[in-house]
Amino acid sequence: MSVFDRSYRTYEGELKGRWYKIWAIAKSTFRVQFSGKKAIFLMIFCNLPVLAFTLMLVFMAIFLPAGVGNLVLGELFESLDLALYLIIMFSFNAGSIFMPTVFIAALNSGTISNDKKHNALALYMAKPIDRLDYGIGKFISVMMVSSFVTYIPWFMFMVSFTLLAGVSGAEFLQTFWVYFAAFGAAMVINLFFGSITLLFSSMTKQSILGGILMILIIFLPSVILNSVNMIFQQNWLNYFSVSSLIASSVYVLFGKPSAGSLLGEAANFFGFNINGWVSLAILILISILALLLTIRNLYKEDISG
Amino acid sequence: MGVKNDLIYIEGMTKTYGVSGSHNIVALNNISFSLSRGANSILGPNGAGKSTLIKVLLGYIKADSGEAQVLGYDIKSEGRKIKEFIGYMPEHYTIIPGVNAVKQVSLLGKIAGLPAAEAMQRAHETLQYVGLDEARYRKVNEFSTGMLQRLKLAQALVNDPELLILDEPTNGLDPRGRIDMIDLIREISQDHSINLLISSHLLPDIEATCEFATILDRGHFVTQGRIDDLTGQEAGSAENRMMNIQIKGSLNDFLGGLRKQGLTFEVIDKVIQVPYSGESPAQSIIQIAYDTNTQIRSMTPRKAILEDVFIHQIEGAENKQAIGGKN
Repeated sequence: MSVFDRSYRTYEGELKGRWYKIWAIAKSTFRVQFSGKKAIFLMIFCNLPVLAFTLMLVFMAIFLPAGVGNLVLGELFESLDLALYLIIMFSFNAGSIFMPTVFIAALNSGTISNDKKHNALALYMAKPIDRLDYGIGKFISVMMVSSFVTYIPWFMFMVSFTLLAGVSGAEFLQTFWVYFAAFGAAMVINLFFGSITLLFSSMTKQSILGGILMILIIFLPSVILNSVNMIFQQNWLNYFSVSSLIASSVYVLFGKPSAGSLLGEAANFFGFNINGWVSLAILILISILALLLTIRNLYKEDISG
Repeated sequence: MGVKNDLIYIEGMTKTYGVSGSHNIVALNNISFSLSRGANSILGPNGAGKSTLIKVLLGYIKADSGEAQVLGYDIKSEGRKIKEFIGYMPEHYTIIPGVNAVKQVSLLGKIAGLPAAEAMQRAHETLQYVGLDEARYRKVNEFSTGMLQRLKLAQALVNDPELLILDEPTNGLDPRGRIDMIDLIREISQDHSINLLISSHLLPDIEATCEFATILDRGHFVTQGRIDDLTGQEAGSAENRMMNIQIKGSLNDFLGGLRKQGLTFEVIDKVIQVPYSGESPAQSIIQIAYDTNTQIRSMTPRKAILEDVFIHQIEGAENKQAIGGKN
């Protein structure tokens, strides 16, 4: 029937299941949160390290087509895992972690708080889902948005590296695990930042306030730690630094990168002195706690129909 | 009491809100009733428990005790199933921020379980149906109050519900919008056989759209029945009888005649209202008209409206509670 007929039509078909509904919430939220010039600008700005390395590869392939393999594989990066490890560390070290954090906070802080502000839960909860389904949908959306400063640019770099640096079939197979290691690292980072953002988003109706609180909570311990560490010089204090936790967790997932090349030496800049597995466990535990508190907040939320 | 295939069946439901320690507010006090299929309404003054009841039926909050079924499904164990068959139009301002009307309605259609293409098609159709076809692509946060009411109705209809729950559907609408909304609700109920449950303070709206009324007061069940029956009983009750008379001729002479006969009266907009109890005074009034040489243009017993039933029933319930409280 035409959409312009003013009449009411009954629906006799089948209804879809639970995960279809959750995915509908995730997709819709992602489209709302990841829209506008602000999002594009922030995304480019936060991905400057990976964009710079990728552009460097492209220019080398254009202007030094014969030497690109030797230069990239031999002298500069040595291998894909080292290249990607450096990129992750350039993006998430103590000096530059602020930008991806701002990106994740700015784009995701309204995920639940905007719904609270506009009383949208009354509409969602009148449909056949429960608050947990709603929370899962929102969480998936946050993970998708966060991927734009983690796995998506990394994947783009890995593909460029493999195609432009003249990696042979055997070398590709040998370094194929990097794609999965990078995915694991991205998931840990997304999970950590995403869950904390979601928690603060579920605590307030003001998305800006939620974002600012999230950034403060992430960075205040690191700032205080740096001051204290200048006096006490204790390694264990690094467990309070988000960038140290991420660096050591990523190290666990990648293994120690070889350092024989020019940039391989730079990997030492990102040296750390805390246990990687403990760091990974801390990040995951904090994330789970944040998610549980988010679900608790959602169940406590009074829906005024 | 109700049976499982009633539209809604409630048995011994109590809901208490805790306020400042030991001081609790009993929103629903051991209420039991059932609603038949058709167009139903829940009436009651502020604090009667109407909104609490709807929230419990939708699973927004849990009752302290009692049980309830909607469309034969238990609200405690089959809440998700119930919501597949209902559409709910909330009272307050509520939108999904950042999307346009058609995206909001289609999203809620998908969350109701409709396949994506069907949800989008039905979103267009329902927005067309409620009269928002030209505003389909506008952001919902730019909508006026009247448009938002229509949007809320469209999203409630998108999944083709068996039961439509409308909370104050004409709230904030101008007179024209209110008439349109009432016509739409009546059409939904009568032409498409969708069961209704309307909660409203505006009793004329209820009379215009509903067949049955259930009255609550301060968390207690007061009465229920077919609106025609309730208003008929009210008109027939001894203390509420009244004759409305319009005459042509000398008003003063006619009123003098009424006084002589010991009848009390009130004149409102040229209509003489004569309250009475027991036998109809029609015969005496005709005699007065004859004696005073006036012509009776019309003489009809006043028809009770829902408002009379409401006031009478609420006063009765409050008196009972006051007596119960003293004892």
